[in-house]
Amino acid sequence: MDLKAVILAAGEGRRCRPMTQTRSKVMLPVGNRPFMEHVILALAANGVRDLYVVVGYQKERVMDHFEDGVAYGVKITYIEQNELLGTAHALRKAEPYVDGEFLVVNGDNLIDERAIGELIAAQGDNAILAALCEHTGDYGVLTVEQGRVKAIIEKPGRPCAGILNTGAYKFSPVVFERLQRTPISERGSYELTETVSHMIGEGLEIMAVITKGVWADAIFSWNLLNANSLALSLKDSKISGEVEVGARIRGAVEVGEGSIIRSGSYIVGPASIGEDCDIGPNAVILPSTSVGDAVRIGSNSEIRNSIVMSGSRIGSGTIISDSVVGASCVLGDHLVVETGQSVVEIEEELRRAEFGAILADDVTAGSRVLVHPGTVVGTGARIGSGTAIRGWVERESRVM
Amino acid sequence: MCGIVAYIGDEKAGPILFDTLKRLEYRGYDSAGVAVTSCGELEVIKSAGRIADLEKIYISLGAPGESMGIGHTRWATHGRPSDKNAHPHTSGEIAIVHNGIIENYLELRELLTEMGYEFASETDSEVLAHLINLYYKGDLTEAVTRALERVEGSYAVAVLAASSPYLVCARKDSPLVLGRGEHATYVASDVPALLPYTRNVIRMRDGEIARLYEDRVELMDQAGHSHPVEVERITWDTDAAEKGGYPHFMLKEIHEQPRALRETIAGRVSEIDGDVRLALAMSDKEMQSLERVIIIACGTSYHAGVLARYLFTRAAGLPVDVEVASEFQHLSVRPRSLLLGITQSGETADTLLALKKARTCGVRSLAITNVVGSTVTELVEGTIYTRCGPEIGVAATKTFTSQLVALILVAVRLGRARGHLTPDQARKMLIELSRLPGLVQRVLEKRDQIKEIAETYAGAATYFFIGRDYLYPISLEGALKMKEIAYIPSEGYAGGELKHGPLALITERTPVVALATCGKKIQSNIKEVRARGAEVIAISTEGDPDIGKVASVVIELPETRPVFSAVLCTVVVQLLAYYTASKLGLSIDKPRNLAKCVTVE
Repeated sequence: MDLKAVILAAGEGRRCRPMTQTRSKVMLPVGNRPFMEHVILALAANGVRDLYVVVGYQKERVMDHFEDGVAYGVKITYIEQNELLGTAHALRKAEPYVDGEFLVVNGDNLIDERAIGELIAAQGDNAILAALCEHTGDYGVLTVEQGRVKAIIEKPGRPCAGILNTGAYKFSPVVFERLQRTPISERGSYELTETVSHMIGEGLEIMAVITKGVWADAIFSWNLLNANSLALSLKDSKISGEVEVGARIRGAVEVGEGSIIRSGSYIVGPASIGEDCDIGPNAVILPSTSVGDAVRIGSNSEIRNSIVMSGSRIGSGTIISDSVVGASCVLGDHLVVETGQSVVEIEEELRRAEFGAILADDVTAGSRVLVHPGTVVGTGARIGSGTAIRGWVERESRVM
Repeated sequence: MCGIVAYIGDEKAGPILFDTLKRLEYRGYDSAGVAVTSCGELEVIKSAGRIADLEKIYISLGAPGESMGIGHTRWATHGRPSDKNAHPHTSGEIAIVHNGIIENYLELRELLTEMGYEFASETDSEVLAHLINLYYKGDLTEAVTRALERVEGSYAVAVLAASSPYLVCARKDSPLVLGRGEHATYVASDVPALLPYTRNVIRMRDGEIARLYEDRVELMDQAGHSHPVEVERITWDTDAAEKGGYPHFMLKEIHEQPRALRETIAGRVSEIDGDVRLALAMSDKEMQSLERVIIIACGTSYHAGVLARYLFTRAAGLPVDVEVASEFQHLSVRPRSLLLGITQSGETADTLLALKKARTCGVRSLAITNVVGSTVTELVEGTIYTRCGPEIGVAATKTFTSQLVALILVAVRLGRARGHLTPDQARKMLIELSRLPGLVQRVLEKRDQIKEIAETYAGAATYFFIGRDYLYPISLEGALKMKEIAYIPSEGYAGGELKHGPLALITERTPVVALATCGKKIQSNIKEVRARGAEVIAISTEGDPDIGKVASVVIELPETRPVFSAVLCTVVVQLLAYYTASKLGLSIDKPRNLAKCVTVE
């Protein structure tokens, strides 16, 4: 019987706000592909083709992109989780669909074929995919003895190196009975890690597979840049669009069908340009930059280490680095994003971070806008010409 | 319109026929039937109702038949939907399925009755079965050829004879495609129905007759001259033909609009030049000498044409006549006119006929369609494809908004060629056009608000839609959607027309959808209906300070140019009709009495 997989894709990913105001975290692109597309391709490459995707928050975006999965070589069945009550609750929704051994994978992580292969090949009926990490601060940390998981410590708080729980599992059907017994957590939800802790407590053997493959997550929206850089580093050159004479392309660069790179432009890989983009003339795109589909980048603009999502327009003489620009943004001429250290308040916590700006979808900005380091702008905000912005700019607000 | 299928191969025919028929169900669904050979005899099963019901009957009869058969799903045009009117029709050992109309059937019926044939149904198709039987002397191809010589009208037909080792099919003015598998040959009315079995497709031409074997296909014309068989490899997928998590195709297709519009625009716009790259089969000089545009279309496509009337006048300085295809008078065509047919399927019989007639006046002709290689593309000199993928829901959604975008592209091209638009004016318009898919996405995110409004007024006895200027055609479209999906009698009016009559119908609590993103004049019309107690659902631009004072509910849309706001308003009225029908528990993808593409006049 073919191995089936359940993909958890119902949550919003609140800590990635404001990027998740219009789509869930699984749909945020790194390396010009939504997180979940990486997950699905990694599963398909291992012959796992029967996928059950638990959707909830902004499910239309997920369904519009993946449809029935044929384009990705898989068959997708969508399962709706209307009340967002945690991962254990989400997995219970999949019970009628799976039989025998199956995989559970988060839709919002970057994962490759090798990591999934290791999980499938794991000994024993139940296994966790683990990763070695230098800063485990925000994750569950595993204590492992002779390949078996002894305990899961949730978010130890202080940063330390360790083995973290990636949230990808191989389970036997016994898990469903345990899921029902999972107690509600402090956050008011039913969490899969809680279920697994109980299974360990009851003496059930759960193996830990420490991956040698690729696994990455983005906790906050600015962490998308690291995941993007990693995803891009796995790509080869592929030029399907038109590169005008006088434009220069160096390193591993993708240029999608229907895109045009106009004369005088200079693109250094790793970088990826989607379909139907219009770049330049004289635009500069520097490493670790992903540009989605139908993006227009005006003359003399420079983009470095950034993500620009589909349908956005960037004016002339604009400089953007270490930043995330959402879909359908319109940024005027001579907008400059500065980059550097800052302290950002997110979900009532203060975080130290180093990035340029996070602009959610549909942000419009006039000309000569100065964006200070660590600026976060909500969906649909309008920034007037000649302004300087910093800190949080709320959704749909106007800056004059 | 109907759908027909056939199969000859090394597997049992029945299950394959049912599977392909289900994929054609959108073409008609009031009755269905199959005929298969079984031990040298014909086994015919047919019934009024859905294909799934028929399949149950087939299974209860022990799934009879061997590896050869034909099938049909029907939408009544002649004769009521009933068991006996369902295809296949038989005559002796001959069984046929037919899509199209036989114009001289009364005459043929009389003749055949005199010769002793008994008619079991009220349909025009049955005469074909008897005619073929009359000529059948062991060579089925010859019998079909001779029978078709007697027939006037349109047909796609598949013929099975119990004693013949092969199947025969033929087409004229009705769609039919063949598929070649490893050990089988398939027939269907359209390509998606074949894709689960084979990607090697042969498109039959008008007037061709095909002889089908398990391992080969032979094509010939009516004189018996053989034609080369051109196999086309289909590279696109049926994925777009599946519902992908949505409860209905219509909702899925509404949500596909940002992508569909992006596809329509892709590769056709050059902002730097301030122009559109479109092959309109005319030189710039010819475009300059045009004096008029005549648009021919039906239904939803007609509404797209009405919008073009405003658009072409303003962007290209060209007056436009928009004609409902079935009412078109070709004698009104003047020289130096451009003929523009709009048809989603490219097979709409009324539109094809009107185009055929109009072309005789010696004018340039273009078509906007979604289906590559469809009949209309052979009729006209230039085709603009909307490129939005197959649309399965009977109510046109993404194909309509894509038609609007295609018309905007044509308008800009004509405007530039005629010098009516400056490069900079065109550039600004194209920049705004490039934002449109993103704006549509934002409108889709209003779905919860629209759903709530739809559910509030779902019990309404009538609905009114009013709009002015570019929004007038959208008010027509809104009313049409409400009629065809939610079965609520609805009217779309130009805002200024209300006071000339329809106002009498506006009573307490009648919902009136006011499309108000395009100018202030509509506000006085809103006040008129408010004064009579109507509930006004206003669709306006974000931050409009006045509209809240006059309307009961306001749906706010992102700001854009008026012509693009017509596209955004369309999405709102589509969702409104969808959620109303959903609240009323109706069969949204297959509304009663309607077919996706109407291939009869």
